Amino acid sequence: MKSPYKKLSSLPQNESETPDKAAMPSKKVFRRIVGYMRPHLWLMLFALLLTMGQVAATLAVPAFIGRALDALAGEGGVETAKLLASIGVLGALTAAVFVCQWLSSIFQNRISFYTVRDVRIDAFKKLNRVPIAYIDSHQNGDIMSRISNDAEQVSDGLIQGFTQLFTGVVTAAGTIVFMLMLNVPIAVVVIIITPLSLTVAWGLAKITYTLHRKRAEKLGELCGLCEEYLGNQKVVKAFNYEAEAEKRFNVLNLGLKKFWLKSMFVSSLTNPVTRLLNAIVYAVVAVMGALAVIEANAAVAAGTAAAAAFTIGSLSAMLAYAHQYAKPFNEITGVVTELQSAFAAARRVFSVIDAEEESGEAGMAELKDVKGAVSAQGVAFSYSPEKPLIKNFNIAVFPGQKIAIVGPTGCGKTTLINLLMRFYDVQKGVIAVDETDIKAVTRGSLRRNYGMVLQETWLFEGTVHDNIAYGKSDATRDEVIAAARQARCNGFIKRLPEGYDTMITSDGANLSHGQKQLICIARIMLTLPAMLILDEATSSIDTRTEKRVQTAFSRIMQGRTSFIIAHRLSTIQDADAILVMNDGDIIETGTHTELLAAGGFYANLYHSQNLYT
Amino acid sequence: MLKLTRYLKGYGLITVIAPLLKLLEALFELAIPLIVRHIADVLIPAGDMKGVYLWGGAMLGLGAAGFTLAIISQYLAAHSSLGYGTNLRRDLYRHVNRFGYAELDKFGTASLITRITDDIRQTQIGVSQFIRLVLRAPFILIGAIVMAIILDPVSGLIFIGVSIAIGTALYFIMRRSGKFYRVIQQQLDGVALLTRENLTGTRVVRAFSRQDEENADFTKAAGKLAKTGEKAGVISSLLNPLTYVLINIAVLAILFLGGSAVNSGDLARGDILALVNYLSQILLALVVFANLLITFSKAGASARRINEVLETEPILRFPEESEGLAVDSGQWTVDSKADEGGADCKTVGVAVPGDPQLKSNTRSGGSPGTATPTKTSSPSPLTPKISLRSVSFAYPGDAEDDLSDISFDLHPGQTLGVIGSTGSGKTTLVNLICRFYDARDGRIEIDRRDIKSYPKDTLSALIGVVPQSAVLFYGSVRENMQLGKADASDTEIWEALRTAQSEDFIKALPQGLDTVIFQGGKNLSGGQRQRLTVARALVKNPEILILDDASSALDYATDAALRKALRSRQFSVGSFQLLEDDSLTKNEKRKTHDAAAKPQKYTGRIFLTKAGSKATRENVGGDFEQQLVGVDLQIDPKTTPKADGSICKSTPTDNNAPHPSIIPNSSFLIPNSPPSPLTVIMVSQRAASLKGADLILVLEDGKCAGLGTYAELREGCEIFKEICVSQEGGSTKNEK
Repeated sequence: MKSPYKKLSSLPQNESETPDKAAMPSKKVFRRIVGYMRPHLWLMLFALLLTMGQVAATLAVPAFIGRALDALAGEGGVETAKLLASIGVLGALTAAVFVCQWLSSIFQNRISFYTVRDVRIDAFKKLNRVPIAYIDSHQNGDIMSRISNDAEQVSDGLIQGFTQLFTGVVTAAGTIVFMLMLNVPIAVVVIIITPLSLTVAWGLAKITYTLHRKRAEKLGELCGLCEEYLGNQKVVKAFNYEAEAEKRFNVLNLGLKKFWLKSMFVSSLTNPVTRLLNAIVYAVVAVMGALAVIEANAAVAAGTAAAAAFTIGSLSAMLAYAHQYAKPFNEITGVVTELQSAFAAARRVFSVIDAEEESGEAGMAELKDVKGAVSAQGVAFSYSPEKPLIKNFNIAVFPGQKIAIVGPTGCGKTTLINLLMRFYDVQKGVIAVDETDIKAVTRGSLRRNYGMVLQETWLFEGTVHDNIAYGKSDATRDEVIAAARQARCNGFIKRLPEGYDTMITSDGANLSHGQKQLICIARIMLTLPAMLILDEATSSIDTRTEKRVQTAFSRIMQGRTSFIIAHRLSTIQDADAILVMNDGDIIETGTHTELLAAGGFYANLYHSQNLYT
Repeated sequence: MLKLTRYLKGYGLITVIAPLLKLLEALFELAIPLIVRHIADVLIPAGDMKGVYLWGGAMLGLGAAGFTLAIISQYLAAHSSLGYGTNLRRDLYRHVNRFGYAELDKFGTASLITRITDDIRQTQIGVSQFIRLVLRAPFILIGAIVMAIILDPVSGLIFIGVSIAIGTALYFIMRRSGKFYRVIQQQLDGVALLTRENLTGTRVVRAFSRQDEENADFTKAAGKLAKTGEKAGVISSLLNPLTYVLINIAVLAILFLGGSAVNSGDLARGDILALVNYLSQILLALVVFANLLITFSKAGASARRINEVLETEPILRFPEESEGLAVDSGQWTVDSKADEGGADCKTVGVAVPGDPQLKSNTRSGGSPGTATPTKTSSPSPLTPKISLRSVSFAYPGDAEDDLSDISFDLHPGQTLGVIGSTGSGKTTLVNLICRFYDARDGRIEIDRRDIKSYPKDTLSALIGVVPQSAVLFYGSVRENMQLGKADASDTEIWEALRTAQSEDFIKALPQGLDTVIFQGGKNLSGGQRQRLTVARALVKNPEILILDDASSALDYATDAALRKALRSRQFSVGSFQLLEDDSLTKNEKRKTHDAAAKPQKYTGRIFLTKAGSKATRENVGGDFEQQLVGVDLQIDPKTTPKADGSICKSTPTDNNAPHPSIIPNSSFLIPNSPPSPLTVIMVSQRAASLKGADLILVLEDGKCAGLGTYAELREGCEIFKEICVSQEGGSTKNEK
């Protein structure tokens, strides 16, 4: 089933996102992760040291249990002193294991949580540095899944996996030493047979890896669908689209199941396989050990040896070691699968972190003391090459002028705002503020000089106060109230359950569209930057309130350059210049009177409004 | 967690078989120490090498058998846990889909998404681990205890004691860490929310240069999450070492007590060896178990969050589909029986007392003309399409009513304009009529039926709504248009697009209807999106169209064209009474009578005017062309006699032609085929846009501040006057 959520090749940029090209070498991924762990290097070393202590103590335990068993020769032959000594040592070893293991896992846990935190923070910060085009062209749900789910998997897999790997290696090495001390031939057999499980495990892990990646992709698609439909559930409901949405969901859900089933089954095979090998090793050790004991006993009986070289206690210890030796090999398969899915997750997170940033700004000047002269020369821009939008755009705006932009929907008005604010960069030509190319100053300083109110309102989860004070977080309550008054939203805010301290839910569900827009306007009223951009800023506000907001606007627009996109031509009649746009180009410019006199596009528009309204 | 086990339905057999296989496997494993004991106590002292080989072979056989069983049970576990997860995901999504606005507001989208994806993943892992691994531990535990009791009752007691100790420790550790994991999950939600906000608000964030603060907020949230994780780690890290210590204490106890038992000859060395082996088996099983418990406490926390959603029943309940109710809603029935009572018939233009703008037509109540039967004797056939009876509503948590005591009647084919300040309750009204929320008081009826009695599908088919925010989905234009009507043909879609003034720009797209719209319609302008949402609602071909400020992003010309096109839709599907028109020339009248004199199948244009409005030049004024719209309509010849010369042939498309012919004093019914006329509710900020509306509702603070026609309100309603003045351009600035 072909999913509708496949990334389109026609999407701008970031084709590197497609899985085929994503292949960042594992080595590099690992190095990146190690980089993230660097701040915890000492803690990590300490944890590893503790792990080594734990392994050593754990390994010594079977030897002393064997010694204690040997002390129990049989009826009447128990050597109490030897037994008690062994028991004492065993007690001490147990305590050591406890302390070492606890501490080291506390440390590992700490390291892993803080590493995820850092990865997440880097990914998040990246989102604030990528070109807007990146965000426009990626599904929010997918990015969110990378930052929350994938980042977690990186820690679960890579860090825990790494320490487990380390423990395994140390344990394996330690057991080899202990086993060789007990009986060389048996040890050699064990050492050779056990790693066989690795070969099988590697094979399985390889298959699992691809399946894991597919699975994660499918999960990402499902996330994307949820984000889109649940995010707009109200539209879904209004169109009774639930059943259809469910159908789509189920298609993805079933597709996910298919891959998940495969990957889960294949990765769960490693366990039984290794257990089988263990059983073989165990049987071999038991047989060889028993024969060795019989031989040793025979030697004692024959008087060739003073004491048995290999006792039942040794056999018991050998069996325990065989078990312990196998453990890391059993685990390594799990660790590898974990590691691999972690690698896949890491790749996805890193592809966000590595996304191309907006061009650098090091050493660039700040745009300061803006007077508000804005000019554009020969500007060309389009979102996709096959659909040219703005082809040759020229204007010169003097400080303090009020520029209105009108034109039919889709003519490029909003795109113009995108360019002025440098949300997108012009592809040809120059836009300058106070005769400085806006590409030559920092974006932050440019944008701070604009006050922007968009048609699409955006509020975040926080109090009304915080939302208004978004552009000036240290604003006092009085300042906020004054701004709200100007934006004519003081009234309804006061009526909210907790006034300015009312929490706005994440999608602003407890406010109407117009109320949200007023709050967005209040934000601007609070910061009062040198230039204003109003993109249908009052489209959702009733006209009575709008009238008052307009009055407030015209007061603050005194001496400020402003760009206004409005459908109600009545609100822009006093503009210093009206740019009439169509198909990305300016087709007429002039004042209201001039344009009316010219009897062109604008005049038509104006008359049609008056006619129909 | 247990509540969710019902999602294993259909996998019942598997979930029973898989653990049984595990049980067998465990039994095989438990046999191993017995074999070792046999080797140590019998074969070695006897020096029986052959026996050693034989029993070694037995051990291999048990291993191989265990392997086979394990493979099978792994497969079954994967199968059933995924079946579980997939079913649960499906059902949870379906459940969330049943949520009304109130429930969606309560949970928030971000949280619901995590629950559907991440939380279910956690419980799914839980199920698979449970089947695969967790059951092994109790089997081994109980098996080992039984074996120990058989070997030596005293050691059996030690086994029981240590098991209880470990169990208790596990329980307490789990409980503590479970609490932590719930907090962690919540904080993870918070992190997801911040990410989402940052993504959706990226333009605003950058416009205010707030990236640093956003980063700081996120850093703080992520840091808090890490801190909680660290704390949880201290507790959960205790699991492994603690079990290890407890088991080793048992080993020491057995060695210590075993010392004297062996000395007295009660036990053999092999017994002790077997007991120690059993303990190490218990340890291994428990280590796995303990680690799984962490998975489990996560799964438990997730299960609770899933259950929380599943247990939230939508407050809004829709009746199931029921035969009697569903059909007659607004359907036009054949008029041939009109004479017998007209219960099945609806004719329009019969005024209803109390309906202000129809009053002027009251004299037509008796429906002059022979064609119209005695309507007055039967219950008024004129049913209001929508009527509200003192409707009040408050959002949960709001102290004051957001809408109070709203009443009005809207007849088929009429347009209601709704206007008022921001926050005056316009959208709330829309939400109530669409039944996104239920009114707290009062009644809302569509076709005289309480909307609460409509099955969801029926209600939804009746109403097409264009919400305030223009949301489109990822997919082709066609798919988006088919949102409300999956089988809409291209012709229907193009027609809707034409009405919504979107035909041109869609046609201009290289791929036309197949053009892919990005998520949220990011590749379209605001106005284009809005027009498409209008088209989307029209494709449904609803009887009631609700436009919630749907032209806010449109320029005036487009807005006006849209309204005009809508109006033609409204008429084209309606049936109307045409009243005396004094302005008609006698000549024209005669012409029409002539036409009727020769009954034949008329295929041509008839002119319809809105229900109840009197089509004269005076009352439609300059808007005449808009009020009277020509439509192609086939009239069955059988109905013509009744119409009593009410059908005329004319050619309205030609602008130079004389204005449409109106048939005096006639009303006629249009048979079945056209559905009831489109009734429109239009929320708008622009008073001028509502000029053509039959009825305008002025809202102020949730109360009705005026109800009437444009002209009436312009005279009698202060607030409306104020609104109008504020919109009449710069010239009126100084009027007040």
